[in-house]
Amino acid sequence: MGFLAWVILGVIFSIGAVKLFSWAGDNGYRVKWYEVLLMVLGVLAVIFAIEAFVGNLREFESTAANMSLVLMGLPGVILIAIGVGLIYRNLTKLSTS
Amino acid sequence: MSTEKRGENQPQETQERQEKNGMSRRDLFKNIGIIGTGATLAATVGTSNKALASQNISVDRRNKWYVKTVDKITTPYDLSQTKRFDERNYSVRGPGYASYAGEEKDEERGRKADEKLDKGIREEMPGWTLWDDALVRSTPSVPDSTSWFPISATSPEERGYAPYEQPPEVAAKHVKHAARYFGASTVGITALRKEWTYSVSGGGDVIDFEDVDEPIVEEGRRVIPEKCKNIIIITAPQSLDNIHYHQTRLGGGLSSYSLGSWTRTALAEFIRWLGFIAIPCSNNTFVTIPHAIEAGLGELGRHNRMVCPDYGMNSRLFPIATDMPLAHDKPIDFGLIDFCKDCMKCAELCPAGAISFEREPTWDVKGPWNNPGHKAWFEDAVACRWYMSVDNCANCQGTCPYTKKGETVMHDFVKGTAARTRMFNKAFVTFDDMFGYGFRKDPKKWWDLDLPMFGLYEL
Repeated sequence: MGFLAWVILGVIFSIGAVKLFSWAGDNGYRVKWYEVLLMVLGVLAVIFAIEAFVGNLREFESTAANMSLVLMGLPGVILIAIGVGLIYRNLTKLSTS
Repeated sequence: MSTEKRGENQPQETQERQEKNGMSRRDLFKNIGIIGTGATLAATVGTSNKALASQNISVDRRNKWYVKTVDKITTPYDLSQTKRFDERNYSVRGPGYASYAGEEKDEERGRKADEKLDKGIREEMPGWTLWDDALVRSTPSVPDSTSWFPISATSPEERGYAPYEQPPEVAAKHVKHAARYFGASTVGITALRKEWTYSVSGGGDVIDFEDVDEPIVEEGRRVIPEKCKNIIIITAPQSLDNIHYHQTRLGGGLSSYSLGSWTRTALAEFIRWLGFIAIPCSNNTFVTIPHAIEAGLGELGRHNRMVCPDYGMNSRLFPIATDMPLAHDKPIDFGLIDFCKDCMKCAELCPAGAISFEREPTWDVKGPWNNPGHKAWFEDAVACRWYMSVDNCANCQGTCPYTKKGETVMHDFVKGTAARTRMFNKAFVTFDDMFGYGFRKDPKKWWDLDLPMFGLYEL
């Protein structure tokens, strides 16, 4: 994948992060450090998974490419989902209390 | 002008303005910073492996996005106006120049070229030095040769110049640069050891070391001058695609022998143009692997052959003995021995069962084909040779977890971690299998691959 594609991917992730933090902030919730950590780890895992997927395809290693998505991408998505889920749950708790 | 204070004490007017615009200046810059950092991080991670930055990524030029194929060439031509002509007299190459410019001018052209070269060598003009000239002279039409004598090279003294005298470190740099230019993937320099030299060559010649000025080649005997204290090892990689078709005719990637042989010959001539002895050999004169390991090109793996950190088990070695004073390289350690203790992959996939399954290397040899005196996993070379000949077996080379291309950072991450700790080695081997690395691919599909030049990847 070219340099520009990676920049665009980084911009997309970052805009997502900005939107998430803004939404939390607008609802009066301050994101916790462990929620941020989970999402950062998840995003890093997803980026690595994409890099490994594309790289392995370039190496003509299709099995390795698919395994990269499963073993790195899936946990990354789960970590992001947990992070977002925690924010949502804590925010909901805050608004109902 | 309203005062703009930050935080809770912001005046009403400023707060209203922010609500209208949706974002404060502070938030805007903060968000830009976050987005920029994210973009940079993603781009850094995504393009961090050097293969992506390499010029050698396989690309079919016709498939570049800005190129389109057309029915007619873009230069109009009319064959009715074209005539065949005598290249010797009409082209400016060869005698053609004289027919246009005159004999006198042609002679002057040759004279001026010689004068410029002579001046450049004597005054060490950058780009015209003795070693610059030696590089250029070594390349054209050099045949693959393991002659122990110059093919066309003459020493600086024979040409009326001062001898080449550079510090060993500079000389080593010149040799290595020349080797890379000629096509070597890696180059190492170390001391030539008599113990790692065959007593009789593969061709049946007795090999002696004597205090003579020049090598001696006579019937049944070859003499290496004692003053040849150094040995240069160059590596030529095999095709990283072909090596995964082991136990087929495609496996092994033997183009490296042709390229490496030419590289070795050209480098030998380069050394001779600088006025030194160069003895290029196949693997029938020196035991190349221990020299290569001592020269810092790799470590000894489970299969009792060298593994390079970058090209894995996928290189061929070409030695040149010389009396040129050269700085030596130091051996390397990238955690291979510990990794091989846990790995076993080559042993498991060896059809001959020739590779040791012992966890620890040993000093005890397997048979008379092994030379004692080093700690290794000694192999059954007789069993191996059968499959090498009949099946074109190169399983160990293709299956080694270190034999990888460089298109993803994952490989460097694994190799780098294995170099620092053995804690994850077993897991790495398991994942190597799970990811399907090293197993034989469908040989029919090789003909559809988008291959790099010579089938080689720069790592």
